[in-house]
Amino acid sequence: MKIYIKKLYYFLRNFLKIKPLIYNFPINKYASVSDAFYFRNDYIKTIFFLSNIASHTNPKIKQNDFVKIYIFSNKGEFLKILNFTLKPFETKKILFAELNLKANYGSFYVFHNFHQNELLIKNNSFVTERGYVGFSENSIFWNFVHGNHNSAYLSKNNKIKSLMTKSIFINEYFPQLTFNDCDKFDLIFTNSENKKINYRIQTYDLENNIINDSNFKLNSFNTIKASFTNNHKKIKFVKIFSKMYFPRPVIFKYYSKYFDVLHG
Amino acid sequence: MNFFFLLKPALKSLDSEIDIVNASPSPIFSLSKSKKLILHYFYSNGSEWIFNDICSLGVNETITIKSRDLNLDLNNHSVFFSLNKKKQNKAISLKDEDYHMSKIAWRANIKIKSKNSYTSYQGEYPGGMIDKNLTLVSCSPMIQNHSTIKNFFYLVNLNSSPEIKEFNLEILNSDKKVISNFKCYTNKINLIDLNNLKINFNSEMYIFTSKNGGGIPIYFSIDNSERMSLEHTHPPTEYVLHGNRFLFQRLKKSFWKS
Repeated sequence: MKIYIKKLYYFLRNFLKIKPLIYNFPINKYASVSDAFYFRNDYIKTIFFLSNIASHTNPKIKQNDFVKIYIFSNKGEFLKILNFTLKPFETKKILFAELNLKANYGSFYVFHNFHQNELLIKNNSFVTERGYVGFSENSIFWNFVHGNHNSAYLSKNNKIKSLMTKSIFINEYFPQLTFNDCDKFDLIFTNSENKKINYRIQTYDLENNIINDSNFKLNSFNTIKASFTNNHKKIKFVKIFSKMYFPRPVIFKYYSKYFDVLHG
Repeated sequence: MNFFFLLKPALKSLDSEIDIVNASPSPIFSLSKSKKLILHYFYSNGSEWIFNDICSLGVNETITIKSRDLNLDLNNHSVFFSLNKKKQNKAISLKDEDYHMSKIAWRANIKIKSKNSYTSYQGEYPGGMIDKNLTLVSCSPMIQNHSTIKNFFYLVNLNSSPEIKEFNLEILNSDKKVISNFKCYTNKINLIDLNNLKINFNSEMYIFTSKNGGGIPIYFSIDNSERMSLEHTHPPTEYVLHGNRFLFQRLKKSFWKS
């Protein structure tokens, strides 16, 4: 009961924009948390380094880590679940091109579970996967980016529940970088909510004039790739507006050769 | 406040840049409001901090600084940046001014440029780190083992005192075996050429650790065609959400440092 009252308290704070949280608290005290990682299987391939996370949180206890990876298409269709048992300190490569996925891009969630987790529970903490994803055009050289958000947790009945906070008011996010060095860029958003989310993206030139003003709707568990051409390198900045408090995208910037990937 | 830095290019064919944005990424989570401040670059001469002002950076303004814009050889000077209320000249200690107060960090885009591309990450050196006795445990899967790929490791260290002191850093494998060690220095952007260490990096994870120094660990790779990758590792607290995250950082650090 106490945990539901706490949830209602945080919900009202977030909803009304009174000292909002960046991330909600999972209801389940045993919950495992994950980013909504982005994968792509077009001319750019994806690798994920899956590590025994029990060995990162309390390495003195040598124990197996039981991992479930849930994969969704860009349209929110559940594609596959992968199960792994990792030995202590084990790290495994997951190559998305080998998974025969029926989608060129989408999202995946990585949930860890291990037996000796009393210390996490006692300290009101949750293990979270925000690990390292690589992208490559030749599947030899990988361009890495680490996790972007504490997006969601796995409930007792294996449902993915969002931890992203939102309000009734629109919030602004301003990625602290310039775009006028590249010819094209993508802003990637994933939706861990069970409801539709709207995003508004404005691009600006050097003098802060608006160049584009676009709206995107993102259904539950969907992934959107908002692509912008920047032929004359006019776009210098972007701003993102959403009821989500922290709409930070993954960004791909494309150059005459190769690409850069980072979280915004 | 946050400090920023310009990475020393790992190869002669590369250049270094930084976008410094004088705006909050998320106004709702930021206690600081954007103010017109003076942007400085600074470095240590071992006994003092030497500041040079670049410009006055207005509200919500941005500047891109290229290494060639500064009249300094990055091989001899580790260059940091600060936004200050007053013009700085010399100082015997760095001040952590009350700016950039935010739940979501004010960051800079820290970039390496090749002829045809860039690689970057969103980074900062938090002012809260400059008075701490730092240690390091950085677990990285980002070292790439291929004959066409070169790997480099940066450790960015900044203290309030300008003194340049040596500290030792070790690379361990996941069995805790020390496979290499080298010297790093305080108040430096330490650059280690991992290719010179003659290690066959054929494991998925390596642990970079130091008992008496730390900073921001950053991994840079480049292949023969100048594809590039640049990313830092998470601090140990990032493996845990909410609650007593620093307890788990202590557990991890005590394990790898013992």
